[in-house]
Amino acid sequence: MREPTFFVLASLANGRKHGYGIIKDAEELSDGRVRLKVGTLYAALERLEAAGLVEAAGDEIVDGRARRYFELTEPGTAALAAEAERQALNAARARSRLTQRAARVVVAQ
Amino acid sequence: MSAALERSYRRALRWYPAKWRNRNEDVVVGTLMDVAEQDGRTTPASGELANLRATGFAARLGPLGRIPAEVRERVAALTLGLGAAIAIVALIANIWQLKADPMAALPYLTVGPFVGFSFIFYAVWVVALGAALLGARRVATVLVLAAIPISIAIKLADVRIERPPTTTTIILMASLSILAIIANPVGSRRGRIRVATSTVAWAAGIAGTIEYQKVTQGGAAGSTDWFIGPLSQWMGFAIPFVIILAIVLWRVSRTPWAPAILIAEIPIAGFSLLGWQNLTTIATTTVASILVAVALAPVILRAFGFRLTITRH
Repeated sequence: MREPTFFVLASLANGRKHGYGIIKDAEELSDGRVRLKVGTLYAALERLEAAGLVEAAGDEIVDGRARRYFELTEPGTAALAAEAERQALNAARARSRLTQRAARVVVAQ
Repeated sequence: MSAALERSYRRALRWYPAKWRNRNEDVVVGTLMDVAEQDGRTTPASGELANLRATGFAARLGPLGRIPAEVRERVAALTLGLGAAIAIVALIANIWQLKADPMAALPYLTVGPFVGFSFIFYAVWVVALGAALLGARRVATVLVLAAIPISIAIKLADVRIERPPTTTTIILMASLSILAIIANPVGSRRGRIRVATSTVAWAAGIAGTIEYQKVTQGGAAGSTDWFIGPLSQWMGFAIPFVIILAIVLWRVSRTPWAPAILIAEIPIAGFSLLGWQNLTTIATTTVASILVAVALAPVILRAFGFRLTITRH
């Protein structure tokens, strides 16, 4: 799963959001690293919708602007959880290797 | 001011198919306006319109648009390079023929150093290459697409003017036009180097074919694309080796060049099939084309959302 996709799904994890809400949330969640372009966001949402991970959850007009809300589906929630698990495992393994390295450096000294 | 901004967004969204626009345009414009308002902008952000055009164009391509960008960029570099190389060689060959054998060109109209009007078609391709290398992708896209009707118009014009491009050449160049615009091959300096290298490599290959043809059979003056026939034969012979190269590249490094080479091979395989005259050669190219199709099947299936797995029991 690519990073922008991950943050789109993560942004929807705590409830339905519209396009701008997802962009803002993804930026916050990634500490400003992921600033989704609107075209890219909707292409990703379309792909995720086709894969059954996300679904449209109502259209609204707010201040004359059309907004479409999106939410995670069950498979989407499972895919996000699996990816988060995988990333956590990778991070734990890397941390464990770094601890081993630090121990070796201490022994060598 | 915000009305002008909205208009420029809607203009860029015309790159999307009509069906997509009916469903999504207002929502996407709403989001674009939200982002602009938050940024305090009254003009599009840098790269924003280009992103809309690119994603819109990808949406038009359907499953083809879902091929990863790094593969599409390489396909575009390879096909733009091949089309431009053919055009450059055709222009040089045209001038050279008129000089070497003015009698052969006698029945036809000469325009400056050229025979007939085919040079316009090839010149459009060369200018498109120049525009692409200078980073003017939009100009390059328009020219490459304009080359298709131009070639057909020259073909339909009075044959007494010249020997126009063959149907094979027109079909090959048209399919190269379409593949050359499936991505932006010149979005970075590295991309521009790729396009330039691909053009030089193809031109060298074509020049080699012409030399060989001249030595063995002599040139056939009067037509701008007399080298196309022999070229299609050489390319036909090369297909199985190209497929093997792509498979080896994929196995060794998973490089995006591997699928890109296979996709760029599609018009070449078709071209070889159209360009060959006798049964043995047609059979060889048919086998080669089937090999391309088989090798491409996993990529195509993946683009449609399927995955091909082989399990050993």
